[in-house]
Amino acid sequence: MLLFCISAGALAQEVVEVTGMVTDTKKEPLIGVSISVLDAPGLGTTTDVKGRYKIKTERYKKLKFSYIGFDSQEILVKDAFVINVTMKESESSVLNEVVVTGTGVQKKASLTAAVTTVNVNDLKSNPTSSISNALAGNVPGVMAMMQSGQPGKNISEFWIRGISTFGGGSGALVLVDNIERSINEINIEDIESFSVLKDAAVTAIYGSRGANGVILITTKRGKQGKISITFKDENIYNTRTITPEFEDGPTYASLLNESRITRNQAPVYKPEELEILRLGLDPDLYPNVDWKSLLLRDGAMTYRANLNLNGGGATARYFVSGSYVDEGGMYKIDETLKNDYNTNANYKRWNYRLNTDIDITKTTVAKASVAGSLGKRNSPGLGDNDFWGALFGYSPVSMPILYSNGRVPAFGAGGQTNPWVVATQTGYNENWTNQVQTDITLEQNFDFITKGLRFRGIIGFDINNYNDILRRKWPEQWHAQRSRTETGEIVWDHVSDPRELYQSSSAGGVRREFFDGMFNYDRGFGNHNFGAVVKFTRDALVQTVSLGDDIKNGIARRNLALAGRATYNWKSRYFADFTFGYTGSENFALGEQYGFFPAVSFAWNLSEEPFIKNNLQWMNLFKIRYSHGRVGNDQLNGQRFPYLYTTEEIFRRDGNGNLVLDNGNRIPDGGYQWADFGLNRYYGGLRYSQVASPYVTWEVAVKKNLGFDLSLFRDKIGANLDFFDERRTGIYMPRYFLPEIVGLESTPSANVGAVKSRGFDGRFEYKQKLGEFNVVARGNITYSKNEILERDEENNVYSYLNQENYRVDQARGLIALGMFKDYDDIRNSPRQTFGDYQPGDLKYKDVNADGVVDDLDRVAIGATRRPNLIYGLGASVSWKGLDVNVHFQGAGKSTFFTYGKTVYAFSEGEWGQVMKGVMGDNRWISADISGDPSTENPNASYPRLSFGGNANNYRESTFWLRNGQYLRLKTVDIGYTLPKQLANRIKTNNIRIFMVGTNLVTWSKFKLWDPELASPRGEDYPLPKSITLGLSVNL
Amino acid sequence: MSATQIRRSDSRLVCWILSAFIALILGMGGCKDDKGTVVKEAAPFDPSKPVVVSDFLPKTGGMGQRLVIYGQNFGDNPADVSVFIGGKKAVVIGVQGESIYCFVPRQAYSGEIEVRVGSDGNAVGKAQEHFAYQRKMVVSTLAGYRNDRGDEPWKDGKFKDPDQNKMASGFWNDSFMRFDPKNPKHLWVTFDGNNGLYLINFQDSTITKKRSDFDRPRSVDFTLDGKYMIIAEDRGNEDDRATYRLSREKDWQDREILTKYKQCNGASIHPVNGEMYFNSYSKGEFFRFDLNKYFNEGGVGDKDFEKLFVVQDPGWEYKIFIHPTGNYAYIVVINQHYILRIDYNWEKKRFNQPYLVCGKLSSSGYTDGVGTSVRLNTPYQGAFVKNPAYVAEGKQDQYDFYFTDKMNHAIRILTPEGSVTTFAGRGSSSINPNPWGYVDGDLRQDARFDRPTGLAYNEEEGAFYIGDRENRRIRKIALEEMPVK
Repeated sequence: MLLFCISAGALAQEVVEVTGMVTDTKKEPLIGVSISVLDAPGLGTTTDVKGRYKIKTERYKKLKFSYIGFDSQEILVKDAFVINVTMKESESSVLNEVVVTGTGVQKKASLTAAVTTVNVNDLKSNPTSSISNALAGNVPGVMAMMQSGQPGKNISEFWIRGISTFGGGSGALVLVDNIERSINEINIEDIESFSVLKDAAVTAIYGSRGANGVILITTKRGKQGKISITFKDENIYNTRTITPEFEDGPTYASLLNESRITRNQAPVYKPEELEILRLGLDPDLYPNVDWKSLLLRDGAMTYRANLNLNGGGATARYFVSGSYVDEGGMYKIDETLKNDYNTNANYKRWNYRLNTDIDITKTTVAKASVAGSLGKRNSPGLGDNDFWGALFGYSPVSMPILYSNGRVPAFGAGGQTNPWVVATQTGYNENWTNQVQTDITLEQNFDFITKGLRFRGIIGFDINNYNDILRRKWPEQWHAQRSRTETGEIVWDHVSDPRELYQSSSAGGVRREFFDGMFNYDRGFGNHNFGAVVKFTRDALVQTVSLGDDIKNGIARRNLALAGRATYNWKSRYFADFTFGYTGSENFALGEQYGFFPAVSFAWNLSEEPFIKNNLQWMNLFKIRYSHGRVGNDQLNGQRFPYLYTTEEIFRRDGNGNLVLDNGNRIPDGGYQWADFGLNRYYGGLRYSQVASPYVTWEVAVKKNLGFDLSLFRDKIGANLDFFDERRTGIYMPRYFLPEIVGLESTPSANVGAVKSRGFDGRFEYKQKLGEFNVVARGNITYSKNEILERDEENNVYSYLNQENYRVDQARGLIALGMFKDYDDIRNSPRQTFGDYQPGDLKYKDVNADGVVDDLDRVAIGATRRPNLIYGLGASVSWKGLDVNVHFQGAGKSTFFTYGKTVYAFSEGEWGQVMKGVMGDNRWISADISGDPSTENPNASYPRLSFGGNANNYRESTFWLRNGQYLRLKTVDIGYTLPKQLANRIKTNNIRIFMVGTNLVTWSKFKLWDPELASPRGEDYPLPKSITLGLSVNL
Repeated sequence: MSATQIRRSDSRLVCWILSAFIALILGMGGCKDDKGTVVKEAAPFDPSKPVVVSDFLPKTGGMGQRLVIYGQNFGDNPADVSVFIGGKKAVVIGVQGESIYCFVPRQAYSGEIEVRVGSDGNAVGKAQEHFAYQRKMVVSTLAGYRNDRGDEPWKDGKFKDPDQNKMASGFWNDSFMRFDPKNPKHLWVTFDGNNGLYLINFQDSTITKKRSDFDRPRSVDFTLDGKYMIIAEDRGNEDDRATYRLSREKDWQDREILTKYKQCNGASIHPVNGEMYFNSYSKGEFFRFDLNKYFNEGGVGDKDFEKLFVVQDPGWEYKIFIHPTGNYAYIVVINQHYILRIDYNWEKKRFNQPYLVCGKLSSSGYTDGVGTSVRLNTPYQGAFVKNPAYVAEGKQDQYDFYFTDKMNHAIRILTPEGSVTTFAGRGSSSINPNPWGYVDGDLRQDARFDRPTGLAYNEEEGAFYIGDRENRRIRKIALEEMPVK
């Protein structure tokens, strides 16, 4: 019976061999075209070097021809078994481009909201492990600053359209495959789409979580067809953009002497001691060490490899990927310990992903995704902060690397440990981070009920864990006194005993449970097109490890949302959308938890108007968009349940607020003596240690957006420009300035602040074909400026002292007028109240003209550390197999104060190097020292030196304010794709060899360290400059 | 897959080679010295060439002065180089071909500089100019040592010896010193917290523990006739011994209790009238005990002492130092950082009420100045020293008061007018800003102490001896000796 069935089937479906040739429109054979039989999993072949193919199939099946960059074709096998195909290059038109938003995939042309979609390939050349570093200058609407260059910490902080709050948090919501997940651990090669949702029309559905903007990332999924294997291998050599340079020993010593002599203190070094130092006659007590070259390598390698497999049949498709990145640290290591453990600042991460799509029925698709990452960051025993602190702290003359008798020198313990010891002799730490992300999606097409109705349900479950393991030790450490005994012996101070390796660890973890259900309905009736979305989301994040004893820590952070969207357009010409989110955050009091966030948006596609369509055919797209809506921000800096109060028992305290102890016990207070006279039954009272703030809720942002989309001359010129205006109210902040008459002992919080922010972002692109050259020029820009409208602050006589009407985090300080010329100048100037001052010290402006320079003269100077403008400019040229891509990135209007022991020379005594260039080329030198009155220049580049700090000079003022503007050659990407024939000869589809240079040149007025580095002291891992060599192979 | 793997390793190799190539082109690679030390390599000594001394820095100074000698062909090995200054061998610290770093030796009076290089020392270079050697007051080390970990034992022994085990050591505690009035070669020392009576014997340069049955001895003094040594002890109870006497004829091995009371910080004998004054910490009481009556009439009980007054408050730790003329005494309040004066009433043979001379109650600090502007930090022991200038001027009071200022790590001078200056210590204002340390040499330029406590002055010799607690040494301040001819 069974046998019969099979043979009957075989008869009905006769197998034939089809052959043929595939060419392009110029009749050139196409090599490596993928040919598969539709609905027959696994069957498939590719064309050979001559473009020929041969495939066995049953009759009356369809063959699918697909090739990257060409339109796919499906051809039915009927009578002819020789099928020659001519494939056409696909014309990617903006009209066909799609956008991923929170309510699914949408045609870009029908968009009424401000959404940036990013070509993921533009982000891939970034040589670090986090995609966040690729955002600045590549993604209009996003402002970003790289925090550090250290592997594993080299991520960028970013803000969508800048900052518009000073309250609970300004970070964007990042959703990976619809679920909130970290952006930093994603494997860049897994990303299919990257979109930035900027205005209320797209973020309102996120309700109380969307005000800071949303980033949506989707990962790649399998495509039907023959298996495609892509392998990419990159070797990256990293050095540093700008590494601070330090003065050498003799220079340091003479500056040190000057800093003391000029303030009437005895010099540290006598002339003969300077000679001993210069000649290197006593390296134990007069060392001259270049700590920087001792501790830092010239460069370090990063290795990155990625393998992915993609394919599938008609009923199931898969995308499988694995990647490995190994970022090498710049620290030098002790070669003798090399085989035991690694003290370098390395970071390694393994990523995997398995995205499977299964067609359960013709209308039902189940998608199961599992992804994970395991990251390991390494650091020397005392940690990176001590490393940089010590490197910047140890002057070249303070200590030798080792004393000549082998003893280990140390300035002090902890952060003042010898940098070489910090880097190599104190053990090592490991920080592990592991993530497992799983989600299952079910998509059902309900066309059989009513056309255009679809359902999507997602269940997600993520686990993130981290554990830190510290393995520390240190050697016995010594400090040589600065004078030898009469017989030439060194006098030793014992700084610390040795410590054998010991271990400590800590761990943390969270679990996220996620559910999302969405109904979509799209249908057109004639020229009327309707769409509707209803969506329900539930999200819970639970801390699972190290809960401590606070009950609150174990309670999940839950969010609930009902969201919807209704769209209408007429002839794709006039669009109107209504979006809403009705969302709840459990962090607030009952009654304050749920909020309604609506948004409306309209668009007018002028290019669809007949008068343009008929007369201006070169105008492919010209659309005007406008949106207006409300979005919320429920972040409270991680604080839980502000509506709850906290009580504590009262114990007796002295006038300074310190506990009074009786035999080590606290004494109850604030209670009542219940016993009769002479007896003791005293019971203490209770007080509020934190009063409740019952009405605290989310911030509200009212966002308006006016946008223009333009595409001209068959997409040769494309541009988007969005103007935005946002008013954030109800900003969460502590109320420090409630009148005392209220009688509170603690500070409640409330939604009281308001900020407005305005700006624009946009991009343009120009494509041109010049013979065989394809040229693309592009640029993008993001500008945002905010202003505090309202803030809980005290009433100031001088309005400029208020933060209101200034930017969030506005830099403030005194206005420096140069240096005092002489004592007459001091006598004739307003009195300065910060500390003693002499000629050559900084002279400040008495802003309020009250005859005294004090903190009331601090005014807004410069702008903010975070740039208000970020832009990118680039061009790419391709010619046959060769492609060159150049990208510049810049930041405008950013100012910051520099300070710290290497900037304020000798402010911490002899702890601290002197950074090269920090004093400029004409520092103020007393004529008594230089013998030249012209060095007493009131406009000198650095004030009179001082030893042990100088309260008058070393304070925030325009003198120390620096310009953080920069422009850098961010990327130069040169690639060569092997000719098809060659690639096919070695059984591959595509081979590309490429070389990428990153951060090759930086132009900035600020030269001491990288202007993008967040540290105002410069004591941080410098940002990388790198060269990548890579190879990608597609099979 | 195996094919891919092979290709992968190939590609890595290619990439590596290319990376290296590109790194070189960009100049990011390169070969730098791995070691951070910036030291020039010196050429070794060449016996065929002469040794030349061309110059030196500085041109003048005293013993221990760091001296840099410039010239040629000094080689690179300090062991092969000997430097003689004024005929004395200098300690050589470093040699770098064309420069030498050495210390100016003691008594290098003539100042000729001579450099000998090579194992046989035949190559000699001489400086044209002479080093101008200055003789001056210096701090030096008499005895004791501190090992690197600071755990050397209490031990009798010689002042100095090449073998550390033969050296006297210890001196871990606050000390109190007193020269034997009958024998200026004997300096007696007690240490608070150590049970011994120590003799620093200058005749044979040894330190010996003479007794081991004390309990917190706080002071040493002698009766006017020198027959008895008076020791004060700091003990807890009212019936514990406070002061007792040891007799010379018994070689100080006996003990006769004079008074019993608690917490005595020291006892002093009036240098003219001979009565004893001592104190008690617990209430700040100042007592008088009539030693003359005790010796002459007898029948004086160990509680027969008289309370003259109370200094301020309970818990006042102080010592009494009586002027050689007997006209007044200083009360040095150790734990409250100030010095009081009490004038002697010759009629009543008693001291009057105290008044402040310098420092400020409970206010520690380091300030030279006059009276209350002065800041002290735990002043400890003092000695009256005759000032020849006062004698020449015919001043009424011819003595300055030199005292250790323990936590200021200095020896300070209090003049009769109440002005305080720093005599020695807190030198080498160099690399570390701390004022303590162990440095010999010029009193203020170089010398450092670390918690000096005991102090004794030898008038004949013009020398101070100081118990330098944390340095675990006995230090000496004196004019540099003249060469023995």
